Amino acid sequence: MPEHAVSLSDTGLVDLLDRVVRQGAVINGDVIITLAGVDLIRLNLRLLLRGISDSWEVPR
Amino acid sequence: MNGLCAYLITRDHHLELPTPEPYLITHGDVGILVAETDVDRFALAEAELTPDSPVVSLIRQHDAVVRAVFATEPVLPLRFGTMFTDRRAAEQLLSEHHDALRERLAEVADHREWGVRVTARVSEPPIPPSTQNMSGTNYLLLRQRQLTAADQARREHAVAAATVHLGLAEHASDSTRRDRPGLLLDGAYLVRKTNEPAFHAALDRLATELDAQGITIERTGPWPPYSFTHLELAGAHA
Repeated sequence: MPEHAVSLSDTGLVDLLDRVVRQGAVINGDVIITLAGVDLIRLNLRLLLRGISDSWEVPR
Repeated sequence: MNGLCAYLITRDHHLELPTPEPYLITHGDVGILVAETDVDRFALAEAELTPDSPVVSLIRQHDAVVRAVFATEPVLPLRFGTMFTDRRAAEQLLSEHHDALRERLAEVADHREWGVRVTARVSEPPIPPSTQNMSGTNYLLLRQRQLTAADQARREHAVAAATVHLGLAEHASDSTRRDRPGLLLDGAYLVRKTNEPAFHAALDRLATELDAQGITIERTGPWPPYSFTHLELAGAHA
C-alpha cells in the first residue's frame, strides 16, 4: 500500500476527507458509473485514519 | 467518457450559482445538482491523499459546491465520486425516491452538523524505579500498580467520552460517533440552528470540566449534514 496514504498530518483536512469521501448519501445500481479510482481513495482514507492514531499517541 | 458528476440533493428552487454548471435536474419538489464531467478525471489509479494532490482538490471542490448551496437551502450531500450515466438516470432516481428525499430534506432543514473530537493529553510517564535490586515480590507489586493505573485511566477516558457524547446529543436532533483510533470520541451532531447556543454552552462547560483530567475537546464545523444523510438509494434503468 502506498505510504503517502498515512502522511497527512492536517487533521482539518482529514475531517473534510472523512466526511466528503466516506459519508454522504450513497446511490447504487446501474444508473451510476462506478469508478475504481474512487474506491482506491476510500481505501487510502481508511489507511490514513488508521495511521493518524500514531501521530496522536506520540507525547507532545 | 462523459458522465454527470452529482454533488447533492436539494429542493427544487432557483439556485444562484456563478457558473452555468453545475445545474439542477429536477423532478417534483426535489432536484439533484450535477455537472458534465470527464469521468476519467476521477479514475485515479494513483490516488494520493496529500494536501496538494489532484484528488484532494477535486474533493475540496465537491465540498465547496455543497457548501454554496447549503448556505441557503437544505441539502443532502452525496458521497464524493457519484457519477450518473446520463440525465435520464438522475431523473429516474429522483422520481423513484421523491417522497423519501423530500421528507429527509425537511428533517435536515435549519440544521447544521458539528464535529467534536475528544483526546487525552499524554502525560509524562513517571520515571520507573530501577528494578535491578528489587525483590521479586516488590517487582510484581510495582507491575500491578502500573497496570491498575493504566486500567483506571482507560475507564476514566471511556466515561469522559460517554459523558461528552450524551451531554451533546441532548441538544442535537441526531448524533453519531465513529470509531477512530487514537481518539476517545469522534462525534458528529446535527443541531437545529436555534439550539446552537445551548449546544455550544454545553460543549464549553464539558471542555472546562474535562480539561482538569487532561482531556481536550476540539470542535469542527459548521458542516453540511454529511454524516446525517442516512440514505442508500437504489437506481436501475427500466
